[in-house]
Amino acid sequence: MKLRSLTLTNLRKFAGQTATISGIGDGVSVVAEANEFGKSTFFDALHALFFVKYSAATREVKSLQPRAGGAVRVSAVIELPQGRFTIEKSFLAQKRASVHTASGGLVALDDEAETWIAQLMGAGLEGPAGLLWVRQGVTALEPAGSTPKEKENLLGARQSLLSSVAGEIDMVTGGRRMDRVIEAAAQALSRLAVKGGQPKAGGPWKEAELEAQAHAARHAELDRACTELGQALVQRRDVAARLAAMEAPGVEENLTRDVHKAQEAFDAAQAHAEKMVQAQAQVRLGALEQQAAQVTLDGLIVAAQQLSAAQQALQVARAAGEGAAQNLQKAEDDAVAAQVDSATAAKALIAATEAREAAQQDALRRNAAEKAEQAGARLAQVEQKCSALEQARAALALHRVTAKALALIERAQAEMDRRQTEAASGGVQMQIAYEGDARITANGAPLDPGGHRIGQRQVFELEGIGRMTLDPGAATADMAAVEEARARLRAALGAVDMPDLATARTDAVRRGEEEAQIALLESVIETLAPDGTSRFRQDAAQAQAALAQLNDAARPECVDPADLARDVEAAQKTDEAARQHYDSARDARDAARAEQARAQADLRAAQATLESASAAYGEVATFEARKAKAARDLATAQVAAQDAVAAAETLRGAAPDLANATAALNRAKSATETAREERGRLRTRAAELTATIRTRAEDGVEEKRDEMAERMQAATERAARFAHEAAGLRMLLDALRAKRGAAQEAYFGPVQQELAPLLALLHEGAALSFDPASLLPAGLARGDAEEQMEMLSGGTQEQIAILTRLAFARLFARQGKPMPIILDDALVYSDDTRITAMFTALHRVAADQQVIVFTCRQMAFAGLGGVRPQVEVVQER
Amino acid sequence: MFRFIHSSDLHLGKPFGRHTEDVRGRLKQARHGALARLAQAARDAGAEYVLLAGDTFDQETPAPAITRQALNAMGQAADITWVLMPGNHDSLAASELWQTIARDKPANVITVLTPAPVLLGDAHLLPAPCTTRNPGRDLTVDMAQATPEGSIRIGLGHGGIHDFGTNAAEGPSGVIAPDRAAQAGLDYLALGDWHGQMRVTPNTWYSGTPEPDSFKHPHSGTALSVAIAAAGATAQVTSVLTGEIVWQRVALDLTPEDDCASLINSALPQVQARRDTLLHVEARGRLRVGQMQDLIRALMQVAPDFLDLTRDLEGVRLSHASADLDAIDPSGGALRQAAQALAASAEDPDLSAADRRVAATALSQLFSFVDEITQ
Repeated sequence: MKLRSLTLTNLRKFAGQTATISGIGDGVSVVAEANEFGKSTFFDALHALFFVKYSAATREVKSLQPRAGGAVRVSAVIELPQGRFTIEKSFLAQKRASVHTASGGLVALDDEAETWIAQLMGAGLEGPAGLLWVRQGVTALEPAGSTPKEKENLLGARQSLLSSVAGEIDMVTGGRRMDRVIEAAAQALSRLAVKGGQPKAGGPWKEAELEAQAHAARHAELDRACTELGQALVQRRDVAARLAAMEAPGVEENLTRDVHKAQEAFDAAQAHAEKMVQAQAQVRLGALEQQAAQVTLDGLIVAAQQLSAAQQALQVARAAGEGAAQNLQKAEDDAVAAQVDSATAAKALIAATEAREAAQQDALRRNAAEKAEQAGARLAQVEQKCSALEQARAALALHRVTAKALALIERAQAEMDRRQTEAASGGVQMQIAYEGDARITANGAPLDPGGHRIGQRQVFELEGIGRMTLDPGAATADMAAVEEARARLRAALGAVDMPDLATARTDAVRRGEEEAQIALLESVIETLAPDGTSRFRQDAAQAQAALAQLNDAARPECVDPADLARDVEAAQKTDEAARQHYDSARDARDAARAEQARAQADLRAAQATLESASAAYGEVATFEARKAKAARDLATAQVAAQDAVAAAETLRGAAPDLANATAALNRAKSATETAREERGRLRTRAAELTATIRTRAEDGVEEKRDEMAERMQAATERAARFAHEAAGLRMLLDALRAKRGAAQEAYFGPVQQELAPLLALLHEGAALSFDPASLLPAGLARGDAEEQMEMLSGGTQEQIAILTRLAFARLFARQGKPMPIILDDALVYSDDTRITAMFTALHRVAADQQVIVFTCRQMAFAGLGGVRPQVEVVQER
Repeated sequence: MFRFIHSSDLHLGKPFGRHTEDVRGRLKQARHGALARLAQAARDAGAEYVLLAGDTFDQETPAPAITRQALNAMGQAADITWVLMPGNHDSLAASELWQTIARDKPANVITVLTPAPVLLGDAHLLPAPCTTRNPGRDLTVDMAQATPEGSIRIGLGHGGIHDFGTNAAEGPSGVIAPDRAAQAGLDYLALGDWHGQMRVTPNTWYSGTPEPDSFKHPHSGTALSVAIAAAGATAQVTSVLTGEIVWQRVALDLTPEDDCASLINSALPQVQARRDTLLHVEARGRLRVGQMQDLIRALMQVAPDFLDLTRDLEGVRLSHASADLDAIDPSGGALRQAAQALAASAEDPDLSAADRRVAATALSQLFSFVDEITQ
């Protein structure tokens, strides 16, 4: 379509006027008029003519009416391939629409005219050509601040344009139907799944899955219960079978019979074992009896030997005693003689001394001091003797064993020896060796294995056998007497605090010596101080006094003092010798006493031994008979012992195995008990299993499990169906979007193709990307960078908007539906360079279609060139 | 004349978990009611005995109510003597069940738990009770044992003559000799396990279940009324209907020329019967999209008439003529191209069967959406 002229009548500032633009060319036509000329009025009138119904009373239409009101008429002469037509509309009053041919022939009127116009403009009154109308100041592809409705309308316009260019958007991209199908599919999918493809929480798919899981869990639970039930049934069957087998007739009787049989065997074995024990005891008894007989015989033999030895020893002891007595007597005599000699010598010495003293009496006067001194010396001697006497007495006190005490000790010792000898020489030796558990007791106490001396008749208890009495012979050893003798000896020793006889004897000897010494000292002191030491001291004092007195006394006849001294010396020597002899005699006497004591003790011991041996030997007249009897008893005992051994061996050979019999009995009893316990356990187990089975049966677990399995299967299948449905919806959406995208890509191709050379005029190598939803350029790619439309400058956005429209217009033209491009004061933001390029673009487009430019920038658009239509305003009459 | 009712496979206690609560209740009630209907069938036939050849109970240990109510129902038919024999579902291994039955059964119920012959009036029954779920051997061999001369010999067994299919739960793997009746000198061999009524030989029959429980056997529940004049006489066997619920399977082989709705309607039972009918429609063949929609609509239309209606349309392949695609998008634009692509994928041999199915579903969905939008 090409516009040739446009006539306005009674519009806005052209109230009552008719304004006409004519001579619009095929290419670029520029209507350059000053501001307020009414360029926009022409633009709006043209727009109303093509896009507003004649009957409309919209604001757009009313805005065309002048203040004076009245009808608003717009007409345009268009040129189509089939010729020229005049389109005319009258708005608001005298409403009319008409289409006439160039020759004035009516083509269509009113609504038919509208239809004719709409077909000319494309589908919809807003038509695709609306995109080609660039209003003043509305250069952006979508005006800023446009309402959603306006944007939707503009989108619709673009879609309409693109559909008309590419063969209907619905045909290419599916259009609204595609959108609705996609929306429906997306809604259906969103009901089932989330974006990741997983079931949506709360959706039917998820619910089906959860139901299947819940049923699966419950099924597993019930299956376990059924398994438990099945196992319980199987176990109970097994238990019942085992119990029936155990309670079958004859089973228990067999067990009881086994026990009885084992018991009999055990009893027989045990009885035999007891016989064996008795036989062994008999063997031991036989051995003991044999041993006792042997002991008896041996004892008799030994007793005879000991008697003979004792007799000999007694003789020897007697002889020794007699010799000791003789020696003692001699020693005593010698001691006495020596004592006498000593005394005599002492007297002689005294006499000599006295003589000398007497002789010296005279000298007393001369030697008064010397005599006094001598008296003093003698006094000292006496004192010394007294001191020695005291010492001897003190020493004596240390030796407590008197002769009497010693004799008592010796008697006690001899008694004890004798008793011991009797005890040692009497009784029998019994050896005990146990083989079993049986023991020999005496007086209720078991005897230990080993040797036992039986000194007297004693009764023994043989466990399991009976009693045994051992009588070692007529003599009895009185162990108690031994103990008594020992006690007396101990007492005797204890009385004098002596450990033993030897020590006592030694002490007694020492005591004797001290006594002798004391006796001697007393004798000497008595000799020196016959009137006692006190007196002697008095005498000494008197002597001293006498000395004093003697100093005045007459002197006796002088004897040669040397002679006197020699006499005294000789007397002293004699005295000394006599004393030494006396000491020796006394020692000899003591030794003889000791010897005699020993001999007496030996004699007593020999006597005791003899008595003991005699006791052991017994009556002489019956000794041989007893010995013969003992021999016979021994023989008998030997035979009996051998018989007992043989009997024991026989029994041993025939002995049943008691351990095996015991084990068999235990086994049989154990089997019976075990069977009884097992029956009880099985009954208990059966009851437990029955309780479990009843509980599960009452729960109906099998039916519930089977039901749950089916419900689980149904839910699983349902979930699978939903999954399949979701997969189908996803595939459907993918296919729809892919095809729509491909279609969009396909029909944007022509746009890109048309746009590329135009864009190259401004931005060499640049390319526009389109938003498939809004069908608008989304970004400008220059090199490797792409800038979003909103980031571009106002001038660039303006240029791209116009170029896009130009590309769409080119598409229209290619479809054989060229539409004029109307620009009303466009390119207001473009610089001089860019505006020149835009002019070039306009001219490029104008090669195929009209481009009508309204502008007030006469100078700036001078470079655009193009045709200048005539503008005429005529006042209406 | 010795008369009895031969039945089996009642499967009391079967859960029917795939069905809704309401349907399950009706099915369970119908199964329980089969006992009274069997008793009535016996009376109608002049029979004193009802022989149940196994699987009277579905589980080895059914809930006490199942067992008790069944025994009560049998007891209420006091003029009938019921003979219960263990099948593979309620085998002798179900010791608790048989102990309960022994304890609670009324006087007119006999259990045959051993192969020993049982005297029933003029006849001797030779049972072959299932010892376990899968005995693995022909238990009917013991039917050859002797009975008094002149006595009618009736065998009672449970198991498969042939392999009954892949579902092992339907029958044991043991094989009963098809000529057991002849081998054992039986006048009649009453078998259970197969839920469909079937004649093996003139005197060897499967009674089928008296109340169906699946679509496998297209029939109403049946039992057999048997009359034997004397030992050696030919058994007179008559089928009797005992079922309450009908399980009907409708199989359709469809072509693009078929009127699916008409086909469906012609295959449906009378309206008055639909309430007691479970209907399962299986369709195969090829349909155009519109036909599929019609078919689905037709089924949805009649579904409320039935106790339950299920369908399996997996066997139907959608064919897409140009007219179908044109209906989606006459312009041949993206919508049609998408439909074309999905149709191609649905037939693409290079794709897996699952993917082809998804593509076919997507295409059906597309048609459905377009159909909704255009309405």
